[in-house]
Amino acid sequence: MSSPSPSSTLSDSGFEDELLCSPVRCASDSQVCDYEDSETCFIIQRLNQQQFLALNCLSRQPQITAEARSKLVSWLIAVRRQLSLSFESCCLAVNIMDRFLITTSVAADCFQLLGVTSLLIATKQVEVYSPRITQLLSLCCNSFSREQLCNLECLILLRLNFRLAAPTLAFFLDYFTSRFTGHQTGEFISAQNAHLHKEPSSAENKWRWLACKVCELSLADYTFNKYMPSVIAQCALKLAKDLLKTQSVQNSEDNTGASKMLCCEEEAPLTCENQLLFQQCMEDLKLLVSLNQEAVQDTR
Amino acid sequence: MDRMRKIKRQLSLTLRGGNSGDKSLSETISSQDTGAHSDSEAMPVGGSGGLRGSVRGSGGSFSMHSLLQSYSSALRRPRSLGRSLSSYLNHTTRLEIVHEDVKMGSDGESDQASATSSDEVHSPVRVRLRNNPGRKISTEDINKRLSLPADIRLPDGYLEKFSLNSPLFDKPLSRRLRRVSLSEIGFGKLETYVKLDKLGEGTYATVYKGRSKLTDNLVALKEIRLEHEEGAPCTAIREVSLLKDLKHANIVTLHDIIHTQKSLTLVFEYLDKDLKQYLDDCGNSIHMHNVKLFLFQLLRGLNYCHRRKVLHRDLKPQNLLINDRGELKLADFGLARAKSIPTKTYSNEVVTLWYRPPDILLGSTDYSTQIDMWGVGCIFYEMSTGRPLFPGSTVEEELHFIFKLLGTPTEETWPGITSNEEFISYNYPRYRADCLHNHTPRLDNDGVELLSKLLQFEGKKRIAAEEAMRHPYFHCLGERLLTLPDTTSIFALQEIQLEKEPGMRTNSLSESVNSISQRQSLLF
Repeated sequence: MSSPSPSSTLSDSGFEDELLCSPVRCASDSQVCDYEDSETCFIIQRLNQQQFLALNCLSRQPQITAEARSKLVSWLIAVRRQLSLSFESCCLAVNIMDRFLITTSVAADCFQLLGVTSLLIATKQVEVYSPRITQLLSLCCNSFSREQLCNLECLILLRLNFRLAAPTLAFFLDYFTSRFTGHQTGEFISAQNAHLHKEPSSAENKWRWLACKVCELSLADYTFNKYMPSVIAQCALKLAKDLLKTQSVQNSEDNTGASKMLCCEEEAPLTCENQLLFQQCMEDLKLLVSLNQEAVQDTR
Repeated sequence: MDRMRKIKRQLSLTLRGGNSGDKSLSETISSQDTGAHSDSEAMPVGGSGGLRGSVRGSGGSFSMHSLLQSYSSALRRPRSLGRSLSSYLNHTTRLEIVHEDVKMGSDGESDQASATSSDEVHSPVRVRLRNNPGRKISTEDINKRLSLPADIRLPDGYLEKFSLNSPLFDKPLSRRLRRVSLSEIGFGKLETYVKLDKLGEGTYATVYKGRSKLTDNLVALKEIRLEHEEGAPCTAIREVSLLKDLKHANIVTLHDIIHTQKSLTLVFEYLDKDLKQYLDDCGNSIHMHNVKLFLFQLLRGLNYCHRRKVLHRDLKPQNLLINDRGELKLADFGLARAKSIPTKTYSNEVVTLWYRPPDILLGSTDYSTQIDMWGVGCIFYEMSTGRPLFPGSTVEEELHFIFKLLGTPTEETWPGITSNEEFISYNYPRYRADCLHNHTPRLDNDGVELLSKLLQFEGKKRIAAEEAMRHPYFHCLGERLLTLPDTTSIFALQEIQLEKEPGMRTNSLSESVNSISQRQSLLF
């Protein structure tokens, strides 16, 4: 359960230096190799997320409201489940959509097309297979044509200058859960046993599921547009832990598993500025969860 | 209200576009195309209805934003963006510029862009011109400001126009201002480039040799057709999104992107030939010093990618471009992807068969940067001997060739191999490992050792690109190679020189051969 000790060293050192150093090759220990690999990915992604932040993307939209965005993103989350796409595709689609909204006014009746087109682009970037355009159009009740979707696809790519490598909420969620539990998983929601070093406990699965639920809610809520994905992911995991801790007091039978998980190592101390942002994000998430109690009930 | 209607019409017009030609309904997908689409059928109406029901439920979630909004009486309606689809205001600088009214389509775009440029240069609205009588703006200033190549030749009169638009120098350069300036110079326009020869044609794209009017340099124009029924090919999307962030002396440079109604054209730097053509021209016998230089450059470019967690996934001689100077550059990032963690399901139908590692051949989708290193080993062998190492025609035959040379794996040589169902089902004869020395007579001991470290069954045991660059095989090249800046060629060092190839055909003959042969590296 304990994280390798270099993590604190990495947190203390300058990122620029770390970025230029390749991980030390460890031929004998594949566990350490996997760890080094994931650390490098994390450092790169953390450095990159600032330039992909779609801050205040609705500020100049005459017809698109925060509520409309919330409905569309919630719908996209349902669509990605229907089509068995990864959470990463969903997060990337929302980022693409938000960044496009910064560059272009969108009429309300075209907003759904923007959503599915962003999802198509995201799947082409990160999935092994993309859904068919006919599938996506039928999900919109064929309100749009293939030509419209293809034209919008090109427009989005050009407006964003093909910058699609956005670090996503899904990435950081996977990273932090893997680091805390020491488990490697292929996909957050549906863990693939083939990749597991050992079966995670039911408490860990519940924790992951709950954290992902919280992240989905934050994805759809415009208030969280201003937070970095890495901050949201950490806060969601902490909140999920706190919620399960509350539940474990009420349910003594599950206490052993939950308390075992609660000993996870915390992230390195944050700077003063980050501390404030972290606390603000945590408060916002708590309020969001309290407003959506039924959504975070365990239905599995 | 009227303004909103105009916005809606504009977006609709943009999406509808002009008349398209006949769209081809046939779709050829190669087995290695990660863009292959799922075979699942379109969702039935019932299913769609069900989804709508669940969506309605999801839509009922309480939004924090709406709650906060109800507490804030001071909140006003969001300010309108005006009529333009593409206007974008830079909040930091508070600079307001005439709105573009841009339609997609080369003719419309050209006209509107011209009008916009004219407006901006001669009578910008609400832009206060500053008098800088003592200031001279030179070509060098503009190149630096807009990050242009040093040898660019700006259009006539541009310097004078640029002088009038002094805000470019007085304020931070917004993304939009840069885009407008680049457009005025000629970037993003087909007229800027002249097609010379057709180099090859593939499923999604045709590649031409061309010349840039701005720099007089040769370019490679990769023209991607957009009539594909599934939209822009994912190979094009990945290639651009990954390549535009990779700036290295040993990676091909993407100069420009041009969009027209029917195509998306990627403008690359031009290199004379690929490694396969180079081998052919040398009669399959490359000077061993040049083998070393090419291998080092391959590793150098690859290390840069791997440090950024970009996997190439299609290394082969056809995808390595070489110029007269001997500079080697990685090309064709259509199958490349960014490595994310934890491991996600990646396709195992990547890498051309002859250069595909055994773990991938046996179905593994759990790989990282080491997937590329096997290909490096195969290419190293091919440069040394003039023959491909494992020229199989099927997966089964490919594995057979590998095991015949390196020995059929056992639980000792490849832990876990006896649990691999695919390996069991093939039921290979038991071969003992052969000696690599016997197959690579021109390689010295260091070279054979490096080759051996590249050709390991297990990905995690293969030597990494960075470590390989430091291998004793390269020590005679000196240590300065290892500390060069990323964008500096190894040939910037005086002691690094390409040896002349005794078997090399003359330039004129070589040129005519090149113009006929397919440039596979630039095709999809």
